[in-house]
Amino acid sequence: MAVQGPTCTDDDVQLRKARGPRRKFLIGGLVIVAVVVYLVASSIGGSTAYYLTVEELKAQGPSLRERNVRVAGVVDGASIQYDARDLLLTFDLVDASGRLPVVYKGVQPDMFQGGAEAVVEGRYRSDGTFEATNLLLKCPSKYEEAATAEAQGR
Amino acid sequence: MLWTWFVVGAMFVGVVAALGYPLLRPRGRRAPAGQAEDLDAWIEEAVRARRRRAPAAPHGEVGTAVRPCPRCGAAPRPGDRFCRQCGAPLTRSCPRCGTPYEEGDRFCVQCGSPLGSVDG
Amino acid sequence: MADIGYAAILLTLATSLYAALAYLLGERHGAPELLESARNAVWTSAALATVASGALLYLLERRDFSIRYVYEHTSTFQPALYNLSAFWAGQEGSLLLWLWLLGLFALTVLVSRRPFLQDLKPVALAVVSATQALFALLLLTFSNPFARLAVPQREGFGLNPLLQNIGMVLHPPVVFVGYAGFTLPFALAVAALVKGRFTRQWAREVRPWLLTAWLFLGVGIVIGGWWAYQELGWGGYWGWDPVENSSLVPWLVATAALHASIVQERRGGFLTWNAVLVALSFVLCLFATFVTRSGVIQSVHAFGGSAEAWVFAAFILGSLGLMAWLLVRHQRDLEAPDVVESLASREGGFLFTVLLFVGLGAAVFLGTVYPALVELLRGQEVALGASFYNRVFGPLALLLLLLLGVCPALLWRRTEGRALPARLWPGGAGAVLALAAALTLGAREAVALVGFAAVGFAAGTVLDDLLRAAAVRREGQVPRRVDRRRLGAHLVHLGVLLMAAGIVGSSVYKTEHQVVLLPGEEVSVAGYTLQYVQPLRGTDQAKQRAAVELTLSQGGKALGTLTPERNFYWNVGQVVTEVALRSSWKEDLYVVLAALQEDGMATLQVQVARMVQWIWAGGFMLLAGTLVGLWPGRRAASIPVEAARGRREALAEEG
Repeated sequence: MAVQGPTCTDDDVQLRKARGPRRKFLIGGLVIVAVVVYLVASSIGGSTAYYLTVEELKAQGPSLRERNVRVAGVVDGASIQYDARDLLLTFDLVDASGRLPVVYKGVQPDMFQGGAEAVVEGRYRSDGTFEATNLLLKCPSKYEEAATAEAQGR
Repeated sequence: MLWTWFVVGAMFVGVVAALGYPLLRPRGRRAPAGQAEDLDAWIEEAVRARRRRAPAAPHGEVGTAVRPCPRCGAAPRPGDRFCRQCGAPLTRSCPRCGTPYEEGDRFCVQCGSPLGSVDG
Repeated sequence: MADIGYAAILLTLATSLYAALAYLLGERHGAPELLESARNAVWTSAALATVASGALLYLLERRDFSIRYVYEHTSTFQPALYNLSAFWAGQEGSLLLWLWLLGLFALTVLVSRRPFLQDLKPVALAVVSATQALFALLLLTFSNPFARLAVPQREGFGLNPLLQNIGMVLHPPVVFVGYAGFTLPFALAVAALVKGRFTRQWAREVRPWLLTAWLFLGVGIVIGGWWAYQELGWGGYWGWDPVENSSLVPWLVATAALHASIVQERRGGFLTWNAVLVALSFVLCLFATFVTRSGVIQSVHAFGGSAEAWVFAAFILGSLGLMAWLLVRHQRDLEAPDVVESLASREGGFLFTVLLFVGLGAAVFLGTVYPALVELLRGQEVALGASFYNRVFGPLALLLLLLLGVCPALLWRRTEGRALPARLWPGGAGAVLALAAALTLGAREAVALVGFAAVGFAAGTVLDDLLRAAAVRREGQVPRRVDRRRLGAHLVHLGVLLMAAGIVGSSVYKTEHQVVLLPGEEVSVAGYTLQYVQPLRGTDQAKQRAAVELTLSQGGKALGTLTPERNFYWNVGQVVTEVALRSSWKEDLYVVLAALQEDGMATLQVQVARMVQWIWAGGFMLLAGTLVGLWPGRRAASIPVEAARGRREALAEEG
């Protein structure tokens, strides 16, 4: 390995040469930055899903059309119906403002049960049901509930 | 329960001892600023000395940080071969002819005198 | 024992704060006794952190259910291994792991004999100790792993069944080693800037630390993806979840830093870039630790409060502020002649590489914090879907692949325009071969063809470079150590290419089928034949088991048994599915038991994805390549004579 030390003369000469290509660099660098910014800006709009409450959803229903929205709430255990043959899950999602019937096609997710906090993403159909393309469950903060339950001698 | 307190107490004492000992140990003047830790500078110099094998090259000639006197802790100036406070030898040189020797050598390679342990 | 653990953490807070102060004061005033005291403090901090960790492990192993953390994550009926891996299952344990790792890593700097690092140690260790103090503070206040339950329990709650998987035993500690590991390059950068040593040699000396942290984080991320694939049951390995994203961003920035440091080492350029990137990597790791264990960004993983948010935020801003201040103050040291002289040069290629990786990291970061930002600024709650990430990551990854195909063919400083086509033909050949292979195997989709062609292009260049280097090595012209680094880099790049190919294949060629069977029936899916042998049921202390036994065959040839499960765990009161997987290089057969009726009727969801195993294979290659590159060369003690002499003369000149 060469001895570490200032390589003076070499770089002085290069410094003068560097001015020209430097502009090319700036342009090249800016192009990359522009590409990244463009990709981000153009993709964000289409991928953003707005959270609505059940009430807002029902109110805006007609104007929402095909736009993807998300609704957060709690699964009503009594309303859960699962057709195992066709893998069709229907249930009611309840939040502070109302009740929303949800239809989800797919495997019933792990951790799915009454009382679970869930987020559904999809479309609000004209018949008043919500067609969920995505069903997310919040990992339950079971510790507090369980601990207190145990401590109270369940 | 008692043994818990004992362990905690032991940890506390250990911490105070480890942190406090270097501060409370008798010391001479402070070394100049920018000095790296003693042991590390010493190691670095020892490695160089091994490669150099130059005649009469006491510690400190290279200009790196010098280590304090092993007997009294006073900081020597670069080039000092004996401590200015207590007279202890600072370099690993044969007391008779001044040739530097390596750690572990028992006789001087130049004049043959027996070498005693200098370091603390 | 819990009290001992807590006391140990309390003492660690004291010793790490002391170490930071003592190092800084000792350095400033040239007081060797303070430095030695600080040195002892670092050893003590490490010892105390070990005691605290040992205490927690003891409590976990003993299943002392009077301690809340132990109660929450262990039980008598889960496999013993998970009682130990519970150490990093929750927030408190994770922070303790950080503390312990920081203690150990500080020692690696402390005991280093490398001459270059000696002067850097005080400031660097001050920074590491300050970070330790942060974690000790968090552990004592918000996240006490030794907190007791009001009512001691006789049985533990147990680990979430989703976490009872070998992947989750390995993933968190490996990732945390990466996170904590990035503290060292940052600390060494701060020290180097303070002491005016942020030079080419700095880049060389610090590389092993940077590379090791990068390796652990990268491998940890891959293990996480593998776990998600095996365990979560949706057939994917990456969900662009905020927790996943927050671990990916520092890795992307660190990859940029690794490349920038090569330019720093070889040409002495990109100094400011490198310093900033190293600082960002560290800060992003802190951010990721915070995000993983708090609920600030909405995530499926979220649990835990955000009181510590302010503490983390303060430390992160402080670190960034420190780096910014140092960069401004030591501006002159960072001035280097413009190293990028020509677009068609290795330096130019590296600049674009750094920009692309940083851009990618910034995009993923932005996407991750976007919902929180929108909520903060507009008060509106939104979520960003995976489509955003796919749309941004895809093109940028493609550009990176193309860059990988071009950069190794470029020379340092400048490459003659005329020489370029000749240097790029291996890449071109690779692209053509890959395209031909893909078309022959039936690929028709644009995304797949472009992706495979790009991978082939990059592979062609890398392989050519590898073979060229091997030829040079045979002639004995290149020093061993340099050679090993280059070979390591080649292997890493090839590993990345394998992963890229796997990702393209598994994303484009993915099919899903739904099948309903009664016991004894068989069905044909995607060329495979599944025969339903019998349902399996059972109950044990942990769960109620429901599974089906299937025999798999293809073209008449028996391939074995698959047993997808759908278990109901008592503790969480929920169902957790176990996927049945049959893998081959060509494709993976992924079977999920969607429902099992009383009469034995089973609904199965079958997914077939191509080339998934290429991803894990690529991950292994990445690991192997980095290890090859890290393998120690000459020992530290053998300083080249000319270098030592040069330094002595330089010092003599100072007077």
